[in-house]
Amino acid sequence: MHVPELGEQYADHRAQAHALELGMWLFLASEILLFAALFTLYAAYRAMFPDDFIQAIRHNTLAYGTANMYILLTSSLTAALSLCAVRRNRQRLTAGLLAATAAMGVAFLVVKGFEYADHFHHGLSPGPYYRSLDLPTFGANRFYTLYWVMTGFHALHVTLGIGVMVFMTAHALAGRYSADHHTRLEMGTLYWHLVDLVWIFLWPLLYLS
Amino acid sequence: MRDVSINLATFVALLVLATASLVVGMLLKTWWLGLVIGLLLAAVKAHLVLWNFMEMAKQPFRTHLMAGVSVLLVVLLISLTVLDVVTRVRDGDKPRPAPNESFYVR
Repeated sequence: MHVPELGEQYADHRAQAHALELGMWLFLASEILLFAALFTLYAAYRAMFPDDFIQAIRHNTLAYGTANMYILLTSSLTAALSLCAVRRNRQRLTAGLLAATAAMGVAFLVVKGFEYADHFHHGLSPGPYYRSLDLPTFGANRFYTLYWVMTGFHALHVTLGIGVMVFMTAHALAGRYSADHHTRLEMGTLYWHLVDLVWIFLWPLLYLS
Repeated sequence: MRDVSINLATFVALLVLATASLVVGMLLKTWWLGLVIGLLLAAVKAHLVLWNFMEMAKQPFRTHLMAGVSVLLVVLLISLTVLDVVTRVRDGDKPRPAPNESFYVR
């Protein structure tokens, strides 16, 4: 059984796991603050241009956003189940569930890629590159600038999350996680759930109403 | 086995809530009502993910406190910003007339 290295400042693995967990929650809180700034900008501009924002939301392809919502919810389930599997020492099942999570992350990015291409084709680009003839308003320009920044940051997080999932899949296959030692796997799945949490709020704001 | 069934039940609840958000978003014509309901459903979904998938339920009180304070600060940040924007004097609004001298005499 693989036992992770114990930092010299820790009395035992339990203390090390506690410190890692608290550190991860603090990191997640700082990530939420990053997205909070973007949500605040969205709220301010929406309060300034409510009609333009509604027109722009109706212009977005609901099917793309909804497909990605269901993909990320399913990926959160597989990430959560991987934790259940490792607690039962089911190494191969853990690796399979982590790989499925990474695959769904890739599927999310593929759908996003189709949507981005669609937007480029219709001139719905950010900032000064905005060329839409259907929505030639300043408010719609603001909406699509925010749309690109928010979904772009989120896609960056998904990409990082896929990297984490692939890394953990390799470690699970190498038998580096066990029922007693899997704190790093817990940290990785927490990060993936954060990606899901952000999309849960982006979806209604950018696609629904 | 219990944690697996909790995760599966959470997933089903999330699917139902997501579908409810979709139906509300498509059917409601009043945008602000759709937005409020959509955000409320999103908050419930986020709570389910945090509590069950992220196992916040098993975390100590200090982690609950940290998460709660973070959410409160984010809500304050967004609501105060929106309040500032919606209460600003618009270009078309006339400025208030200056009070005359009798206003200052007690």
